[in-house]
Amino acid sequence: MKRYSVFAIAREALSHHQGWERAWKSPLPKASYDAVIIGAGGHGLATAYYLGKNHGIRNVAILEKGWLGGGNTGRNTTIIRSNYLQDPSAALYEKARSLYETLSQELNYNIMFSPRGLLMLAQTHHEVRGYLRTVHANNLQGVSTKWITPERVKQLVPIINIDGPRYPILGALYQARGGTARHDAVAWGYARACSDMGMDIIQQCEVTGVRSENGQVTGVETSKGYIGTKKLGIVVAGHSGQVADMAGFRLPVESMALQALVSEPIKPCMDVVVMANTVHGYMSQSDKGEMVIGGGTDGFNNYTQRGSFHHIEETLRALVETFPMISRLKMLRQWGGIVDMTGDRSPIISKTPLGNCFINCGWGTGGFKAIPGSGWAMADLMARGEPGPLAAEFDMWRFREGRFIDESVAAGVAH
Amino acid sequence: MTGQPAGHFTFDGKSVPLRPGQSLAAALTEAGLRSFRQTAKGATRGIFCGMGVCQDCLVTVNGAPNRRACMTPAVAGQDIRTQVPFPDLATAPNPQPAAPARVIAPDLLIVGGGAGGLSAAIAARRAGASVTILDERKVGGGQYFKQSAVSGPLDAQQSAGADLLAQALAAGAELIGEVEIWGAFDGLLFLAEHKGAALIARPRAAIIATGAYERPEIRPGWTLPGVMTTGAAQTLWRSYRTLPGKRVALVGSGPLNLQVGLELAQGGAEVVMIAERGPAPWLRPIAAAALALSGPALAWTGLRSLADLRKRGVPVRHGAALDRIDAAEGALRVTLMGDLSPVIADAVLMNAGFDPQNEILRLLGAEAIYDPAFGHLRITRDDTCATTVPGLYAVGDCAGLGGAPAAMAEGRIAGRAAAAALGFGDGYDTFADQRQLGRARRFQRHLWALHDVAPRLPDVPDDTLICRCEEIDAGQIRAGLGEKPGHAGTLKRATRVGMGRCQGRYCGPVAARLVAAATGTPVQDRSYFAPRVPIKPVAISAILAAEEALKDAP
Ligand SMILES: Cc1cc2nc3c(=O)[nH]c(=O)nc-3n(C[C@H](O)[C@H](O)[C@H](O)COP(=O)(O)OP(=O)(O)OC[C@H]3O[C@@H](n4cnc5c(N)ncnc54)[C@H](O)[C@@H]3O)c2cc1C
Ligand SMILES: Cc1cc2nc3c(=O)[nH]c(=O)nc-3n(C[C@H](O)[C@H](O)[C@H](O)COP(=O)(O)OP(=O)(O)OC[C@H]3O[C@@H](n4cnc5c(N)ncnc54)[C@H](O)[C@@H]3O)c2cc1C
Ligand code: FES
Repeated sequence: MKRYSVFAIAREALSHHQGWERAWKSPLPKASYDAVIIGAGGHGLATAYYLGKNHGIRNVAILEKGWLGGGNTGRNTTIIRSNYLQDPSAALYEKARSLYETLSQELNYNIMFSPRGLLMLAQTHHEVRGYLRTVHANNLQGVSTKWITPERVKQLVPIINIDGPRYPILGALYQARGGTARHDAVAWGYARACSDMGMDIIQQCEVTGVRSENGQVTGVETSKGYIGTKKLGIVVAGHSGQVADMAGFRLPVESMALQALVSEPIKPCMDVVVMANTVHGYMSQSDKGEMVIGGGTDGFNNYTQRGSFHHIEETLRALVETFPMISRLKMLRQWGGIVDMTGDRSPIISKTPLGNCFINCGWGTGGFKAIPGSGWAMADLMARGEPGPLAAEFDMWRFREGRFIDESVAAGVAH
Repeated sequence: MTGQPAGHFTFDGKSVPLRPGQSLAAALTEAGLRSFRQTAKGATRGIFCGMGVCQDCLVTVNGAPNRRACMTPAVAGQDIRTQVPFPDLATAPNPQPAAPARVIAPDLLIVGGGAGGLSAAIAARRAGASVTILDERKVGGGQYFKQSAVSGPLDAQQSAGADLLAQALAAGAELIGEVEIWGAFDGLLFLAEHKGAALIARPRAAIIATGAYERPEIRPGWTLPGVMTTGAAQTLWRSYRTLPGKRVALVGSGPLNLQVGLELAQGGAEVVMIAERGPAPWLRPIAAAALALSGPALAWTGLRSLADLRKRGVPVRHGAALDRIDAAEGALRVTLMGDLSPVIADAVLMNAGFDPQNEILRLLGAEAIYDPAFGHLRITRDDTCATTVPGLYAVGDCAGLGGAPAAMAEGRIAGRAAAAALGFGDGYDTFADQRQLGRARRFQRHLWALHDVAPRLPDVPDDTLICRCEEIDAGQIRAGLGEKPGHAGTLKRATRVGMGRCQGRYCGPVAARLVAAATGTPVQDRSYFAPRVPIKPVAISAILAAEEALKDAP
């Protein structure tokens, strides 16, 4: 009988592509780089990609303590939209959304962007006013959204119940070019492109310390030894506080657990993404036929405690009035991730107190949609040492100075 | 096979007879129907595990999709249909408003009413603790004592089980059947579905006795309708008096294949072959002698069944492993490795060892250690079967394979210890039980030494499915391994292996082994998919009902 061996696995991996061909190298780290990015999530990989593509900086390493895309990039529910209220956010998220439109061609990797349309339901009069304001703001910002009536909502989403007793549908904020993409594919696509430019993606390489001289970063200590660098980008989402600590500064972020679930596959019944912020829930149907349902955040992270699980129950309870068919579904899987939230629910793309050390974090519940724009802005910041127009307002000192970019309405629900 | 039809139901419009007590799977099998559902990729599937684990036997019952035929009683007049992969739920009628949620708070909750659970219940109840046993099946007894659901004479094993059940009930334990536990949480809170209504258990202590499920032979053709686990066929026969087919072949390794082969032959099936991976006992005289010494009576029973099989002309081929199964003219063609003369059978039964049903234990955070000999996790326990989680005990096969006699001894020990810890009765002298337990474990060790259930890496062609539910084949898995996933969870995300309805129970251990082999690391407790709520797919209406009831509860 033929023995199975690691060699056989490697050989077969090379001979059976099926679209999963190994797309990036896993090299050993060099002694030093022009730039080092910590964190191979979507944001870190996109940062590296635009550093190379837009700024010609290719002597770059991306250090990842686990496996690339293994953080929240691989756990989120992939909603993409840009209907934010404040100008700086709308600009950043719209940049990201428009880059998503052509990302598959650009990376030559199918990220399955599906601009199927996205509705944010207004279920209170307060929300109606808020969304009408967003529509006006978006129109001025050049983001294409519109206000639609309950009847139009019903046309777009036949399974919806528009006259529930507690939460009737009063209308919706509609972004026709919002939608979803395949999360892992976004990470893999950027990773392959980075690798093709000669960058080193070093997995299972945990950063344990940051070294500096005269207030300037000089390198990082890692589980694979010391790596020198001229510039450092910290893009580690939920671990930002920890790594900032290593670099000697503090961040105004808190960590929270966020959860999502999918149902068993069913016949296609909803071809748009629907968010219901009043009840903290949202739903879409995946290409596998599963209903993907997400809810609000909760304050702590312990999966065996129901304290965490009851958020899912509450999400379901609230959504069931609007989508009665939910009660006929079976829940198949449920998972969570730790997200990093700022006080104004907007991200941080910023210089830090340490010279040539930059940070990108605070994407909270909604960073997947921002990946290309965030990488673009962060690369610009790292390359020039100063923020460009996209990142200018998102510095970390705004909290001290009271220049909040308040998106607690637009980001009121996890997405 | 025995008894008269008590009525008929329809399957895709065709009339199918049923006998009282039969499951849908049994009645359909008896009528020669093997394909119950269509997969997303257009394949057909039928009964596989026979015990509610694989989720492959799904049918639509009176318009309600995705019901497990093996766990659903057949009722006259039912409209049963082939399950389609994407049922239309948008326009389906709303479910009946479920009965109100029931909240129970016994001193001791026992999950699983098999050999271990029933023994624990008797011991704890006699010590004075209030005891509720929850079981997924309608009838208690578990896998070893497999109770009959249809009328007819009981065999010795069944009557011993009936005695144990009667003792548990006489002692005052409550047994609730048809309970599907889907979540377990800290502070010992169990959430379950009971006939469409929510059941909530808040016990002071819990004993988990959920037993094991069977490890299949992952070979080409293992997902074909008509291929099922040996235990599934045993349940068909012992609980429902339904033969899995006229001609059956058994493959894999272990004593269950021999036992079930004989039971089916005695029941009138033509057993065309039993292929056992392990060498013949007479080629391993020392191991065989060790077995005989450690348990003369059981070893004698085993030897007698071998002789009986031989007398009936059943070919038992030692040192023989399955190569592939192909569909052939309404039957199945079974080819062994290095063999040019395949056999034809209606049903192929496979058992290549067992994997513990330890989901609840792992979900609650009980520590486990990988046992390389059996290739599965063993829950860390002290002498009283207490796990590392306060108030949580594990007995029987769910803690690691041990067999029915060990499960019973462990049940008695844990039942008394759990009751004593709650202030009922004294701790007692466990010497006799510990000695029995030691003997039973020794016997098991020698028994399995004669078989070959070492965990395997699937050495199969690329187009052989590894993940039954999501239909992920070996080629996709190998390509996913090429991405160097460091954990089975990463492989899961890359390939969707383990994302289906069975929650990775069959492909999960394989994925863990493959990733370990590919990364050159040993398999550990952390190598497996992380346990998650829900441990079985659960109706969202049941989640909501549980939430409502918990909100009202103090
Ligand atoms: C359940 C859920 C649903 C969500 N839904 C949506 C949605 O629908 N739409 C949306 O836009 N957003 C959504 N989000 C948010 C989104 O997932 C995140 O904002 C986004 O993925 C963050 O990407 P990232 O690259 O910053 O982080 P990550 O993908 O988490 O990457 C950070 C990486 O840094 C690595 N790292 C950390 N510390 C170190 C160290 N010391 N050394 C080396 N590496 C390190 C980590 O291992 C990780 O891989 C959701 C999040 C969750 C949890
Ligand atoms: C299919 C099969 C057939 C077997 N046949 C034989 C045989 O013929 N001879 C032999 O010597 N040994 C046999 N064994 C092994 C033997 O059954 C076990 O060693 C013995 O039954 C172990 O007892 P137990 O109490 O640990 O588990 P079991 O007897 O298996 O009892 C477990 C009980 O828990 C219930 N359960 C499981 N999960 C849940 C849940 N989530 N919620 C509620 N209830 C749950 C099950 O319905 C079952 O009744 C078999 C094992 C299997 C899996
Ligand atoms: S055969 Fe019914 S669930 Fe496996």
